[in-house]
Amino acid sequence: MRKFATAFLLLFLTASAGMAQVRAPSVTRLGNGLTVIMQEDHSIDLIGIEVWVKAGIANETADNNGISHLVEHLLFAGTEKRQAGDMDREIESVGATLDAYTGVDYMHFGATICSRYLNKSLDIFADAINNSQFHEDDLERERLVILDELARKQSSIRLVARSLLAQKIYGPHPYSLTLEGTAANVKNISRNDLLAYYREHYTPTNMALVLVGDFDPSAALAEIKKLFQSAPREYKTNPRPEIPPITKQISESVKASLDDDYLAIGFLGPDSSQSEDVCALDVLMSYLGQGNRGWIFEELKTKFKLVDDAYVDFVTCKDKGLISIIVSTTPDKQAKVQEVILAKLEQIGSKGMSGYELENAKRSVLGQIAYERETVSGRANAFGFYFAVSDVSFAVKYQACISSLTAEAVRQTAKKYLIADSAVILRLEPSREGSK
Amino acid sequence: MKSNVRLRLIVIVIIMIICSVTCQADSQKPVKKVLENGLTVVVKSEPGSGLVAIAAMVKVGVGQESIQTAGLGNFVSRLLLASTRAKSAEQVASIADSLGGNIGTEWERDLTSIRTVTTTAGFDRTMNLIGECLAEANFEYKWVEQVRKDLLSYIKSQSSDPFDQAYADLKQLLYEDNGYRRPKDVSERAISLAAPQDLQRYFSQHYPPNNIVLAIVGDVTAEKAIERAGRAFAGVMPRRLPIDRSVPDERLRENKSNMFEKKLSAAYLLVGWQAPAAGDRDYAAVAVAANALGGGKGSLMFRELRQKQGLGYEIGALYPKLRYQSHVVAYLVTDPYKKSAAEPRQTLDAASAELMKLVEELKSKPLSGEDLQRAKGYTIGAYALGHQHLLERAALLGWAETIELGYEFDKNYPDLIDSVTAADVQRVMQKYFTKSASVMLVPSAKE
Repeated sequence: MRKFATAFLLLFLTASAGMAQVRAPSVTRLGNGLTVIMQEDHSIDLIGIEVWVKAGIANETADNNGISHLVEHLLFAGTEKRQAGDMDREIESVGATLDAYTGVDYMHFGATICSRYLNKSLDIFADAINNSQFHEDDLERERLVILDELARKQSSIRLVARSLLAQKIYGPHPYSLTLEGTAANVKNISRNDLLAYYREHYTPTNMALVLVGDFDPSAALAEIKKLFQSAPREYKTNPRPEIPPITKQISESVKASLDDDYLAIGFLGPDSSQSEDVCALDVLMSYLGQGNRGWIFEELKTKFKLVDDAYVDFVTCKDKGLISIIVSTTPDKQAKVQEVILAKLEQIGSKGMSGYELENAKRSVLGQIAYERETVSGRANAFGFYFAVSDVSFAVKYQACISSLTAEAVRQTAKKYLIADSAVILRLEPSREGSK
Repeated sequence: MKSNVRLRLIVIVIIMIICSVTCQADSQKPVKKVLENGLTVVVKSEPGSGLVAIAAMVKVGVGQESIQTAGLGNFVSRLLLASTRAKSAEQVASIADSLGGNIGTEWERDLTSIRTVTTTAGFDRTMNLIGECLAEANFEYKWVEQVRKDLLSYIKSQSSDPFDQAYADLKQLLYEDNGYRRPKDVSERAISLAAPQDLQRYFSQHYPPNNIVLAIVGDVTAEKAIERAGRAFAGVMPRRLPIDRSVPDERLRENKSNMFEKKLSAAYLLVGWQAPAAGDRDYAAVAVAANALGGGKGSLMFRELRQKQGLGYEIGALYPKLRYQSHVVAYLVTDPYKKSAAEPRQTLDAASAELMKLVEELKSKPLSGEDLQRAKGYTIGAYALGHQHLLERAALLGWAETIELGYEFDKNYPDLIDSVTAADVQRVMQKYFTKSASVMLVPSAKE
């Protein structure tokens, strides 16, 4: 929710309902296999333009972990006709900025642009997708940037704790790997490695171009065909290792580079094909404590003063996603906090949420979605994300899925996933002497 | 909040029904209507999202204040949502809560506003609430003291960002005496002294419907929005407005500069020139000139100062869109010891000399075709990107109408910028980039 800087009365309220459902975009598959997702909206002269490639951490191994992220950093460095920095400057010269992100199942980049600059932007995007060169000097520069990111990440509690949970939960599955990879990998991945990865995964059949906003679809499609006409290449999807089931609660103490003590509780969630479970978990997470509200904040923090901060998260992934509950608490309270949280989860699994709690949580999720999808780039992002992890249709039906959830469906989902016997519980202790 | 559960459920059901029949009609051109009591309503209907943004703008801001009254407008703006004559603060908050969305006030240089996003189903009640806040604000002692306490503590907690400080200093040099010269939140004296009747008087003078613009953008028809706005302000009569306190044009007679030493790790250089108002015929050319000079990584400043000289962590140019005389600021934040390990002033002097050289070049020869196109693209694109959310669109539409540019300004802006030629840029450079004011912030001497 947007904040008004000088507002006296500041209410972080979520819009109170299902809003209008998102319209289905058109989905076209070009001759070379590229998926083009388009939705016209002439409310304003803006276009959200994004490219989603199904190449993320899940496509890596321990040996090349970090390569998807390195490719993301170098994709806009240089092509045959553009030098490092040119693409950034060209996009900025139409008032926009490039945004890129690597996830477990994807890499995406995009920008919101003034509609009169569509063709210019498409030209830049196509050049990055078709002709990136990964020059040695650019690679050396970006290695340093990523090593710096890696160092900074060590200070993010949420990321460190999530990453430790993922290692325990996913075992041999690549979801156990980290975004940046190890420092050794970042230093050693060669230009040839990058080119091989780029040629393997950045094929038309493995990606989507998304346009939402003020454009003429037939003219845009003609331009896209012209610019993205690279020859079709077979894309072979490698089977991912199985995620081993957790049959017994794992409970360990771990030293971590944190300043305070944390308790991290993780569970294995549904995969993206289990759409009702995904929606129910989103509602459950909202109820428990997403967005600085919820049960953890009201009960554990405010009422019983057992925890200070909390991060509650479930990310929808192609394979089973990670459910994480991370709270900061002192060592003397850890056992109590663990007991209370697990008891609460069990109670939701057996008795469910009250009607009031359920409607409030649904309202919160729907409000957040309405706000995110109010913009052209928010919608482009949603279509691209679900293309990468599931199917575009999920983006369209998501709001209806949340609205129609019953208390019983949410209860069953809690009972299925939030089980104490299959929890991974990590007590994170600061590793540095005197770091407190 | 719990008392509103039933209402929320009703709202949800109503919206779901509406959603199920919502068609995706195209958005329409803005419609403007001035109601009988003088209230101006501008509506841009954009069906489909289930949301409506409302920006209610009162034509009074920092610029209209005299040194004696500075701070009163801010105080009043913060009381608008505190309570009304009919409702307590809790009632106002709970209505806002049950409507969904968010609501807040802004106190700006040319206007005061209430801004909110609500659902289509909550539109009527939100409109009524805004009408009540703008017509029936409550200046009872209890609420005044509460807000006074909050406001004074807010002012004290303001961060001392070095850039903001330098910018405030620069405005003191650029303007002799007008409202724009004063920092908008630093007016403790008037806030400490104001009595409820002072606030009531200010409100009565500046808040009649004939001094208010309602800009509405979103999933509502123009007819319905205008009809509801009329109802929300029904019975509120127009009043005679105070004599217009316009901000007079000033003229810098000589170059002015200030240097301050502070405990900083970076050095700051801000150079400012007086520049025309947003409604001036030279506005577009000056906007392009400012962005040619310092807008983005393709700008002359970035290329010459950052890329060639290695000066500047951050480089840019500002040109606020103001109702009256504005200003252009070119700025640079840099490593203070780039030129001399002992004397940070030398680095800023070098940067300042380079910047002035660029300004002189822009005055002496026309901008290249490529630089002109880049600066225009940057200006148009950045303006367009300020429209991503409904509330931003409502605020821009309302702003243009409020400062008498007319709501069409928003739509015409790209063409206005696009029509600027290299000769226009050179001409306005010669006309406005003459006498300058500059502020340097340098780190205190190393111990």
